[in-house]
Amino acid sequence: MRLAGAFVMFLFFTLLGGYGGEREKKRLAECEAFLALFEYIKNQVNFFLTPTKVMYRNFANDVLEECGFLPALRSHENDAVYHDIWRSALVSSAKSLHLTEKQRTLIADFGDCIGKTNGEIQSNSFDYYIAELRQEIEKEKIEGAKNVKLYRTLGLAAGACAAILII
Amino acid sequence: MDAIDKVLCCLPEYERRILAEFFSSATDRKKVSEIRFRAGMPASVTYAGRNVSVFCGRELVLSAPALSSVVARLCEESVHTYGSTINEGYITLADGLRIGVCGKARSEGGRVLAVREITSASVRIPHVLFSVGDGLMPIIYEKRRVHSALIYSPPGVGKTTLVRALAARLGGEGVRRRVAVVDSRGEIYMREMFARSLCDFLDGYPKGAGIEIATRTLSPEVIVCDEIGEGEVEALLAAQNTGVPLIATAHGEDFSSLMMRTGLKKLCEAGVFRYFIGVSRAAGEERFSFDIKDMRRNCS
Repeated sequence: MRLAGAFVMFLFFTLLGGYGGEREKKRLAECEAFLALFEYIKNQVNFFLTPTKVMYRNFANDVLEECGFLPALRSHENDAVYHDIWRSALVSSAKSLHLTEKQRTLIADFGDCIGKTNGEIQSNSFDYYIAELRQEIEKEKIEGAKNVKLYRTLGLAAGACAAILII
Repeated sequence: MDAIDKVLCCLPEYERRILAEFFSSATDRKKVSEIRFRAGMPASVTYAGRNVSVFCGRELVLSAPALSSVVARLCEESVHTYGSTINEGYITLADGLRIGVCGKARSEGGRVLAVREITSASVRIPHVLFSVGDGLMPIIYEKRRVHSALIYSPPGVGKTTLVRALAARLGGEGVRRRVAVVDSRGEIYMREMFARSLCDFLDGYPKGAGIEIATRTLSPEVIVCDEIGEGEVEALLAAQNTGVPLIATAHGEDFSSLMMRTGLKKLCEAGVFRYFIGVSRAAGEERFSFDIKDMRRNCS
């Protein structure tokens, strides 16, 4: 009985460590997905002058699709009045996203630039946010890799400790 | 949702509440022709031909950033899409809703390169009025023939409303002609009026090019074009050679002032238009008065 309990505790902490690592990976994937979306929007505004309402129609990305952000953006295509859709999509998909507060603010601020000024000014703002998000991704890659290892080790260690204590 | 509701939805909370109260209390929406906002100055509504700037005892003053935000919302947050027309002073949205804009511009060589701050925005409210063309139809469409006509008036009388109604009538039930509408500013088309008509819309084409493309490729039975000027004279003369009747509008106080413009005089002399129709309307009235000049009768 004690052995079984120790095994369960060991498994629980190990999985918890693994889950922490998964979150880090998901965060990185989401940042990269948003970067792809930023670049796409910049092109749509710069070269095609696409109306914001229909801009997201042809953008495909599994990560943003799964978290519900893209479907939320697209769901307003036929609205008679269209504004502040980016922020509301971000709020509606908040629970499925794993972003840090800083990344979330950066993405929300990017949305505030879409379609509010002429193409040239928008393009300059987009460049700024794209550079910022790239930096975040680089940071995430370095820190994320460290954190994945850390969570895994902590999980294993905590699991082993708990198991030893129980035994 | 009508055009007025759309404008209200794009306003900040306080301004929306006051204007909504104004529109719901004492106004017949059909008599509203314009809503105008000015940065740092009172907003106004043109109602029954009068400019109203006090709404339920209050004035509405939008700040410059608030006005820019309202314009962005009216553009469905696609200001970049309308960049070139903003430089020309207007934005045309769906269903003929047109916003005239002006502000602080960056210019070079007589051309506006960008408008960095919008200081005035006048939203012209389009109305679905089939019947306004009734008075002219027997003249323009006579014995199953369509006659060319130039409709003129000073700005704001309702030439676009009139030409829209005529295009819908000529392409609609009863007449059923193939009408090519050169809609350079996208302000003639209204889904509600043209849903069942035989009209082809050349939306956003420069007028001269639009007329040329329409005559060459669309085999129209009538061409309709709003606000012609000197730039379209050659295209109109070429279109005349194909025998397609043309219905166009131009700004002009009266016939003599119209004839002082070289291009229009040339068109008149070439016999492009059979009728020159001066349009006037009493303030707030739906009904138009016409001053019709038949050039064929004048010649003979």
